[in-house]
Amino acid sequence: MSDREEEALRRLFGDREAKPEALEGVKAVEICGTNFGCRIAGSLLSELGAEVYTVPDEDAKRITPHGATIDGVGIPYFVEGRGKREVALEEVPKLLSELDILIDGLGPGRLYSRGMGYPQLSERYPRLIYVAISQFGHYGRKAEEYAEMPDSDLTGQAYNGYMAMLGNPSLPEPYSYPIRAGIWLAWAFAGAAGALSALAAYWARMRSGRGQFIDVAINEVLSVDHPYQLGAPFVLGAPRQRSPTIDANILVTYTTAKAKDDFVALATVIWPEVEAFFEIIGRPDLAERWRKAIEAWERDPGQLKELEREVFAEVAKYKAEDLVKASREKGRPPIAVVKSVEWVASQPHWRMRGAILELTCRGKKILVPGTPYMMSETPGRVKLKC
Amino acid sequence: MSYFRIIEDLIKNARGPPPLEGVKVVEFSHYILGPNIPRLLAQLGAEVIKIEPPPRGDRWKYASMWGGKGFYKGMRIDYLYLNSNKYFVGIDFRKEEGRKLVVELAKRADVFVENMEPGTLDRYGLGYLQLREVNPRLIYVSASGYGNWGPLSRLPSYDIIGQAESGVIDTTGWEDGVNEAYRLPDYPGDWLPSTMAVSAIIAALIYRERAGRGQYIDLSQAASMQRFMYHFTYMSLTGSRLKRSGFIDPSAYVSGVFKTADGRFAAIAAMTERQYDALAEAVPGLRGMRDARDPDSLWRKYEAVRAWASGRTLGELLEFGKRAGVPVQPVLNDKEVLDDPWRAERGSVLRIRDRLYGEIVVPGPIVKMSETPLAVRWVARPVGYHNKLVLARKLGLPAAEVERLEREGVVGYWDGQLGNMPPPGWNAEDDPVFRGERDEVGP
Repeated sequence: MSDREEEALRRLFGDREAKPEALEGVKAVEICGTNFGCRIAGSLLSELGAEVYTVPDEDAKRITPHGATIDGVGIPYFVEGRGKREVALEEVPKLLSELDILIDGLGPGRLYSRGMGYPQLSERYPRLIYVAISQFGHYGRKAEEYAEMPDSDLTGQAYNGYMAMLGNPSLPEPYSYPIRAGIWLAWAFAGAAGALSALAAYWARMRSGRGQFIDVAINEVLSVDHPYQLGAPFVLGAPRQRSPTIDANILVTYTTAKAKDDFVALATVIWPEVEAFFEIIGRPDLAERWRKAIEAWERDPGQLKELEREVFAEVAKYKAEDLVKASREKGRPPIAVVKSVEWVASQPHWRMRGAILELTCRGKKILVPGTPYMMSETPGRVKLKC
Repeated sequence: MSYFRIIEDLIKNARGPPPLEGVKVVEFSHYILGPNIPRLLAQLGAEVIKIEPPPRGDRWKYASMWGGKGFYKGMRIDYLYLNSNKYFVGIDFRKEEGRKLVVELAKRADVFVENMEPGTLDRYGLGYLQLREVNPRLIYVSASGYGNWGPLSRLPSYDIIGQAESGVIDTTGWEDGVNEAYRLPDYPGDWLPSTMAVSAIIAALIYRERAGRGQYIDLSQAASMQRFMYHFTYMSLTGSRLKRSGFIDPSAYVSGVFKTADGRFAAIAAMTERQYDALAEAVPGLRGMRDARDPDSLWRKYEAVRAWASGRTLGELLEFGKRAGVPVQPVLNDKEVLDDPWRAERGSVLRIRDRLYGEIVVPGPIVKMSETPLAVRWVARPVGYHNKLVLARKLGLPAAEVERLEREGVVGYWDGQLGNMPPPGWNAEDDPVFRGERDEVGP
């Protein structure tokens, strides 16, 4: 893209504050308890311009890294509470007649027992879109069996089959156990699914005039969206093995590695990229051996493991930036230094695009994630508050 | 009737049309980040036409997986899933007539999705600013690593590079004693941003009803991952970075992955004071430590639970979790996910009979809706498979014109490379969909 074209684009996305919001006039309430998948669904709607009410929850306010709080409120609650208006649970019925979307994260049957389940509300408010977000859904044996067990992101990552693919089994116990993605990945997927289905139902309602019930199960969204948890065992007849160094699907070094001074991310997907990478680390001979090891992989995965050790021993001899430079000169494969959170936060790119925002709370500058919804006519927006 | 039965009846009896029926999407994308957006739109009922340059098209279909074992009847299994419910046309957009065909498809479309390197489509007159001229109602989505403008916009854009640049790799793994940082496996840097993008697209459709105008959505995969990094806030608030902590969720009172007496892995997370107290009733050594939430204390609490959990089977831990109201779940492996009766019951693991590839197990709909159910109706097709159907039946070109375009190489087909072929034994003469005589579903 030329500089001029880029400038035209930048202008297209300018003047964000003066533009309208896509979901202006859409009204939602979230009743989430400690379920952050539910809060994230509400947040995404809010960032797209819906008016979102939230029922406060004291327990949820205390769910925060190492107990850190902003004005007595935990960080995730603070971030996911932006732009939302608080409403007491008892007051929610007063909102119902003008409400488009209700997001229920309390677990199956909880609101029903208070007379606020979908079966009751749909009688009086047939236009209501009711999004239930829970670990096992709101119907079926398992939903009933686990109705009293609260959800969490960690157990969601586990049941989705995601953690089974993450971590280094070669480390001493318990470091060798499956680990979590460092962000709330199961809750994020559930929240994204909740938001998109609420809006799909809203779109359908513009034609039919009718609302509906939507069931989102935190313990499955990630694994139906990602196709590998099903596709791999379907064709292989067996589960995949996790490895921190070899990509469990393409069986090449599409992974992170420790260079002399820093971690690097290696994006070797197609074979010419793999060959180029081996040339960069001065070991073109590895290409042929690696190819043979992949051919033998099913009957002898040990061959790949052995080669992997050789490759990473070579990578450790180079400085991270030198590997990046060599990959740029060669044209492939893409290699990047793994950026620290501090480094990322200092990049003007993310500030310019509103992906990371700074606000001042009681004289203290605080960074918060912004919104990824970069839209030319109705830019996504987070309503900052302290 | 119990609440659960009422809801089950609602979902099981859902019969309406899908929510996005009538919405038309053109896909000009490859790999995962781009194609997953139309995949979800198609699951929601939109008509998706995937344009690929013949004969090879989207290169992701050739990546060798699992030592070459990833193919199912000549197509890669994950590619079949990722491109389900779509129509496949092979158009050489580098030829002027091909470019015009793409423009014609864009004119009748509501949504256009691309994830080529920033600027690529502009060079062919297919960028947003150009297509807006012929269809001002078009919602145009560019998906890339860092967005189409800004100082980092020209960095290479791959899931793992996006993960590295977003900072998310710095959140995953271990540090201090064991210093390791891992990429998140299975490319969530593609799947999550593309899932989030669907909300923006439907919101833009809703806005268009009001304003009459389409718009441009510039999706960055790295920014989408950053949306969930509370680490920035933690760092600026406390002055120190949130360290990688393996299986421990630093926001919990106690958490981790534990090996059970029967050799399974179980995840346990006490997210609230009440959940912690319930766990502390059972686990020796936890009492009195609830409010100590620094990294060392979280590790000491983990060790106390570890000693306790190691003497219990997975079944016993699950029973405890249900009784005490503490989140406990097994770490399932792939095979257990595939064979899970709960998923089968919900239609989340579906066995469908695809018209072309026969019986196949596919991931079911991402959510279950009571009025407008979602569906996975067919899986991917080779390049150009729906040329006749799309050009003749959807664009209204006369048969002779379609033949001319084929003859002149403006539109084309797969070349039979592994990853891009109909199943063995397929015969064009016996396939009315390939010949454009009928649609994949319906009359």
